[in-house]
Amino acid sequence: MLKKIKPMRNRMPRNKKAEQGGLPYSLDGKTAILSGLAEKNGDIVLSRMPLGETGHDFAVSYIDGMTDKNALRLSVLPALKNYVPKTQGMPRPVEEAVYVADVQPVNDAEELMKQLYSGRLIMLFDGPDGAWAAELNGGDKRAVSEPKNQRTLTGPQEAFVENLETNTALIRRKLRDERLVVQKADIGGTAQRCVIIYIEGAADPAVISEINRRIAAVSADAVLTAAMLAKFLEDKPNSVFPQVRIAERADTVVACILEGRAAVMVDQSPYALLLPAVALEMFQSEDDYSYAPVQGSFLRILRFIAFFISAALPGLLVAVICYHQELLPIEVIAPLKYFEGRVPVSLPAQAVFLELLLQLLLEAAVRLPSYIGTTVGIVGAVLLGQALSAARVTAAYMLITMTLAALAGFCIPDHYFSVSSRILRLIILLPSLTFGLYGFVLACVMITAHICSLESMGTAYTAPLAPLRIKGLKDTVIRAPARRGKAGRI
Amino acid sequence: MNAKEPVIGRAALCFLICCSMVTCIVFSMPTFIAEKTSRGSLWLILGIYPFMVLFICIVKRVNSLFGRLTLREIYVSAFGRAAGGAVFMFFILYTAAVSALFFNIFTEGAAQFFLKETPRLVIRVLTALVLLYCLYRGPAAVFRMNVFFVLQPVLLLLIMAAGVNDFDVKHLLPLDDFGGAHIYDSAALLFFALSGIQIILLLYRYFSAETKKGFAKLSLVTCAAVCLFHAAAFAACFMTFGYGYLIKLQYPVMELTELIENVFMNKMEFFTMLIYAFFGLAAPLNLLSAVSLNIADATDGESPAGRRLRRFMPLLLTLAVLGLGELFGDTEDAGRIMAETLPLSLLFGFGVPSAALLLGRRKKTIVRARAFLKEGDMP
Repeated sequence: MLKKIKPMRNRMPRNKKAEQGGLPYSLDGKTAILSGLAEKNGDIVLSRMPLGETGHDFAVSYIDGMTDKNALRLSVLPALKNYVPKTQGMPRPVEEAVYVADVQPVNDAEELMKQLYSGRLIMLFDGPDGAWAAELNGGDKRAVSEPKNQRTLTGPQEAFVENLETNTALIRRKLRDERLVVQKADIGGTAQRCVIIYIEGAADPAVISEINRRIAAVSADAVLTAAMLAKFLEDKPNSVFPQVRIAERADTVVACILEGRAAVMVDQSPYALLLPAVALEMFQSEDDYSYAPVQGSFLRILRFIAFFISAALPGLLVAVICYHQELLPIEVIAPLKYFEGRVPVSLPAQAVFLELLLQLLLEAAVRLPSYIGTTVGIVGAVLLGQALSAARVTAAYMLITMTLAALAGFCIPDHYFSVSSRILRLIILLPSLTFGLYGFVLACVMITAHICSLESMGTAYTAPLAPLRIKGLKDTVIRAPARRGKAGRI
Repeated sequence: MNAKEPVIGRAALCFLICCSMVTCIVFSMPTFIAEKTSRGSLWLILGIYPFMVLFICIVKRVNSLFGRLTLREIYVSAFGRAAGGAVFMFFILYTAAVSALFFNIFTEGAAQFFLKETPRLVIRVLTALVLLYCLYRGPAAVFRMNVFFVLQPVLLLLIMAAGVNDFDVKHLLPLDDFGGAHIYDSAALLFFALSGIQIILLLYRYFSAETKKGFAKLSLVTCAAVCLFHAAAFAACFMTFGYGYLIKLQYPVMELTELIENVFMNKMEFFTMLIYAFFGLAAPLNLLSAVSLNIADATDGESPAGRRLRRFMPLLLTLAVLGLGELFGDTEDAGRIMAETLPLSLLFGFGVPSAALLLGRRKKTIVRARAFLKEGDMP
């Protein structure tokens, strides 16, 4: 949308503003602020040109690669170069000649720098109120492509890109609702931009103002990714559990916004942060709604079981085999003991060794390029596993359990929650090794206490289970039929 | 009430009552009470329900009379500053002692089921550390945990029901046969085991308006469910083992689940042990959280001393539980203490709140009469 620059008002005497900490009156003074930067940095452009036939000059400054040069060359510069001071005998303010999107006046040197580094076009003129910043984004952009981390079988294949405007447009296109608000915000003291997206009337105003407050209070030098901003938005950033949901799919964000949540998107980051987040929704996938309710519910329950297997199964197995063999039937315990007898390494040592090996393999697979990553998977799963078993370093059942736990961890749709399950596995494993089932249960009680104490923007992380809200449970563990299971507001 | 204080909803109230009253004592309760009153114990368990009804009525009346006052403020306004403060302090101590006793019984069981060779003190300290961690997460977190704890008694009931093939109803007959004249001892034990209900007196102030509205109905239904659960556990054990064998078992519920044969896993004991450990800590956690909230209410949170006290409250309470637990000794001592403290349970459960109600009413009547007289004197 094009916006006409407001005419200059409240003209102040020369140098008065500069004395007050504002920008200098003259164009020379203003360009002097940027000329040093332009000399030092090859990508900062500062050029000065005559302003029509007025006898004065004007200057534009921008960062090469971040500004749309075509629009600058075809729209802004000709308008200023061919500036006519009078129209039908009436004086015409210079700013009225330029038509560009989202123009803001700049009042001091610090703001001038901030706007320049945000990728905006800076226009400088003589006089007070002679500095303006315009949204003229340009440069190379990545096209909207398939999601890489949150794939679905039947859902839309559109993921966010690094360009903020493209991302907000993706959401607007899916949610054509007049109540949808896309509110701009600057991240703390950085030059980074972000937007808060929500539906007015559906989102809690207290949550929106709290998000605004936390974004404004960010004290980092730079916030490069959405995940970095997430740490500033979480109530307890040191917790094992993610208290902000991160989505790369526009349809996921739209679904959450419709439920009354807010989305925060950072410029130059292809992910959206969804707030408030609750633990139960980490098990949900957009695919659930593509299936019949029974199938969707089955998959969800499977994910809950997968989480339990991933986090607790190795600990439980070690506790039972090491300390409480009498609890298992003889038919089960006899073969286990037979295998254990053939391996010289103790069971606790095997468990810890395999857990570390697994974490190493996972980390290596993530870091390497995809074609080598697959090889690492094969080497780890097949060759190393078989070799370990053949060399009697580990018992086969222990290998199976740990592999099962790792596989189960991948079934959790939220990547960060999946990583949590890996850490929980270690947290549960260690007390189980030391105190058997009692250690296992105490670790579980502590994890329960921890998860119950978490909140995301004032909403209990365990909601709607604890505190229990029956209506809210409609579409959590069980995927409710579409006609009845209107997604519950948190 | 400040923003960080918990607000207890309707479901949370039910879970709170359930988790505070169904403790790990249920594992040994059938033996304890059957020893004295044989089959009559079943009626004794159900007979305790009217007392619960009475207690709930008193709590409701007291809080209706005194409005949104804290428990300490209620006692102070009813009995005066010194006496009210002392009664409040004794009540808090009594609740902490009850928690310590529950904690003791739990760790004793843990030593028997899980870590037979580990010194008791190590188990107690280990459990106390977990208790401390949970208390540090705050009362709101503890009350939320009840949702997960409350599933355990339900699962236990299902597991016990799976042993239906071993039940012999004849063991329970004749139903009117009271085996002994020691009803008082069994009743005292039952009273103490169910004394977690006092939590509603401590936490009434934190109930939401909706919860207060339906308080009586919700509490009565939950207490009825708890009584039925205890009766069911007793009946299941009695029907399986009969009187003669039951009184020889220390943890009959555990023994019962050991007998259950199952296609999937022929030792249900595994699940029972997990259940035991999961809900064993629920009652001490709830009671101590309630105590910490009440102490925080009674102290000035703005003063440095008050702030310090609030910060170290979980640690102090955990140390108190450990210390008192050491004084109380093992499960047999706990049983004796339970039986001996019936007058104390009755005093704090019925005596003090009833006195507060009567005195509060009288004071209110006097205030009203004075106001009336004052208005009457006016021209």
